[in-house]
Amino acid sequence: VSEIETTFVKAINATLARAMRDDERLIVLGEDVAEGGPYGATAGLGQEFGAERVRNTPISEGAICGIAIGAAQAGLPVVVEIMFIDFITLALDQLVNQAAKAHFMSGGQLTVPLVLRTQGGAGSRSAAQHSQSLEAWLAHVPGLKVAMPSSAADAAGLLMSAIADPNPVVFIENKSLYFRRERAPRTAQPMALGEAHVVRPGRDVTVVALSRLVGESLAAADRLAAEGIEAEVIDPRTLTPLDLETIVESVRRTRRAVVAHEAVSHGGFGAEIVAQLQAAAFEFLAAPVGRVGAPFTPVALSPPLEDAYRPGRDQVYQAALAAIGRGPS
Amino acid sequence: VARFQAHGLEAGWFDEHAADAIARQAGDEVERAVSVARASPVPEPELAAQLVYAQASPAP
Repeated sequence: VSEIETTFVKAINATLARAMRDDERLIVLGEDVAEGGPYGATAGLGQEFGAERVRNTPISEGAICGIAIGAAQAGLPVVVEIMFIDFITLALDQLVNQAAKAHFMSGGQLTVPLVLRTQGGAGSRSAAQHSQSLEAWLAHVPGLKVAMPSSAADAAGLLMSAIADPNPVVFIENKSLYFRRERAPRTAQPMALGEAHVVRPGRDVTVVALSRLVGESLAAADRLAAEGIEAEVIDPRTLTPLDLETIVESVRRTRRAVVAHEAVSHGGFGAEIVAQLQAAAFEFLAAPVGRVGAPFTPVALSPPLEDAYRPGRDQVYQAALAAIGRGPS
Repeated sequence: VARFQAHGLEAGWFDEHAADAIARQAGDEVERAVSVARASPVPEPELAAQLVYAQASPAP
């Protein structure tokens, strides 16, 4: 496969442009999208496709989502950008009570082919209201699909599938991944929603990591490997649907597992993975499943406090050691 | 609805005869839907799970 050097945000941008060229009905809505948005994910789309298809909206997330849902129900595929996932609180009524339920409540007559792109995550000194990881709220709602890509290649492939999906898909990006240089296929191919990726094979412990924690877990795996411990790193790629089968198959071999994400551990999606894993593979587990996540506090503006809040490779390393009985829990 | 009907009559959008006909038509439609629902078998519990997500249309 021919590859190029790109970044996560460029992959998003290129995929949106390609999708809009392929389907002239597809529209993009959001705050400042015609100017590229805060990180440039929609840069150039306004110039190429015009103001009819790349529409700046007022600062009203509920209205943006409501308009998008109505358009999608009427047969117009839509990609909405909610600038920060922290602002999704303002769109939840439309997303949870309308988009997620339209198909069900209409007895299958309505569909909502909507992609809601947003980004979250700490690390950019953006404080408590611009740094959260709220994916667990969304994964809790039947009718929504939730994707969390961890690389530029996955972002492109999953976004293609999300746009083609007839259901509302919440597509959660992590801002700290946006500008990292990566290799990715020159021509992205769709990646199925609900297929996990075994990013690194290993025999001693399974690390199930979401979004930014995938890269952090790979770094932890390198450190573990230097000590003779082979960690298998799995990226579920989507929380809903969740590819439990790949996780269980791994744990049957390794018998030990750690779940890692940036969100607050308490009530986080890691708890759901642990619960499903122990129900499906309890007899194979040789130790409790370790969890890596943020402490139960808001994200602080203070750099030292934010750095202390944000889970990373060191926490994954320690949790993996604990899972195999070589370190403190 | 009542306020809208009064406004429509006053504005001359429709007369009372037309308003009654619309109301009768809507009532009949609701009655037909209720009759169909009452005559239908009770849904199987599995139906709820089937309706959560739309399936992608097969490629043409």
